[in-house]
Amino acid sequence: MKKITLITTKQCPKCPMAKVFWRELKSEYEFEYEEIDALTKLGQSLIEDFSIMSVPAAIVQENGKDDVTFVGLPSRQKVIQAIEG
Amino acid sequence: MKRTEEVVYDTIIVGGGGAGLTAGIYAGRRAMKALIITRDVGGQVLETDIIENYPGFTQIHGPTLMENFEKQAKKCGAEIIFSTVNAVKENGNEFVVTTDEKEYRSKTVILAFGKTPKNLNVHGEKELTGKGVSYCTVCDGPLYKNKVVVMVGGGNTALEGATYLSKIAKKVYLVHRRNEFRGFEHSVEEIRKKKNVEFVLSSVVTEIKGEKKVDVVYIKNLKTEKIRELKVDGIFIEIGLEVKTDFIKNLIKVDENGQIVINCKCETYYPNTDKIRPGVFAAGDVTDTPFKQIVISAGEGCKAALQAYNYLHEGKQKLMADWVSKKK
Repeated sequence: MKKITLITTKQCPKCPMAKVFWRELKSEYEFEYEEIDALTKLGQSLIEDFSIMSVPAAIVQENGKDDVTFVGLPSRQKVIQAIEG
Repeated sequence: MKRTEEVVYDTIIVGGGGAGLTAGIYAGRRAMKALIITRDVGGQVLETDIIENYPGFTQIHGPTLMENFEKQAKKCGAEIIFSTVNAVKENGNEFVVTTDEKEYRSKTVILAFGKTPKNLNVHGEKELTGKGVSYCTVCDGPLYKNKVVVMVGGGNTALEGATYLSKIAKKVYLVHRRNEFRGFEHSVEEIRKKKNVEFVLSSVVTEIKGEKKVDVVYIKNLKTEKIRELKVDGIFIEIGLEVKTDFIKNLIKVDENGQIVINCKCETYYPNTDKIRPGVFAAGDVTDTPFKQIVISAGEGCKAALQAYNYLHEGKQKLMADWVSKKK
């Protein structure tokens, strides 16, 4: 099963919208989902590992292979392709 | 080929800032089937911390005000989807609005997509956007703790951004093409006191390089023509805003700055003419209205929606107020 990790900060004005977007998708599609604050220890390690320099950012992973990162509010179509693909 | 939605909307509103959301509220209250297509909800106001000039609120947080607009638009029946509109074309009595994913059909269109941050238009900028190139200091600044960054711009937004970044980053290069800043004197004075901010004046960015993320920014001094290489982790671009109306230039008239020309009813014109373009309306910062304020955007969004309603019902019924006075 794919895992989606959404990275946000408290200051980012688009992050609440991104949370709504991904939570809605979670109710329609099967995937593991987690929200991480970029300023936590885990968040810092993720932004280093995936070279994330902007939030909101979502990492789509499956067994550590073919990871895809979406920055900002992504197109629903492209996200569904990444989840189903 | 893109899938076309079967439903025909009464109006499609392009943009979800103050103008677009207000158009959604008024269209909904007129029982119009309205769809708002937007990249975000709130537009530029999302990046404004405190607003002190929106009537009814002595002080309100920008994103909170926009959240209220959004809730109200949805409550009134407007549908909101996140996407980017690439084209608006006329097809008989309808308009076809094309996004990255689908085509949508509508009887009227309200253009309310505001302004977008200006690009530097240098090599590497587009490719590294989101990977060290940022247009939102408030959003991405906290990710640059103890890192080295460049801030480009000389206005108040750039100065405030550089001050903000100086509290987080190890070093900030403030790059501006002129010899002095355009921002408020007190903002300039404040940033002069910061020991970790280096001014790089009379200079422009010529290239941004990096593989996975930004590694190097090249700066050219306009007086000496010398190129300087700065090893940095990110670059923040705050050089102002612009209207991007290229994708609708064949549909409606725009002025020399690309702003959509409207009349007092928020109606638009055919390109290069003074003939009203039926069914296409515009509101807010994307128009040639001189003052760019939330209250004006909201007012124009209202006018555009009511005029769209009027256009749909022309000759059939008069425009009626949708409120009643409270009788004592």
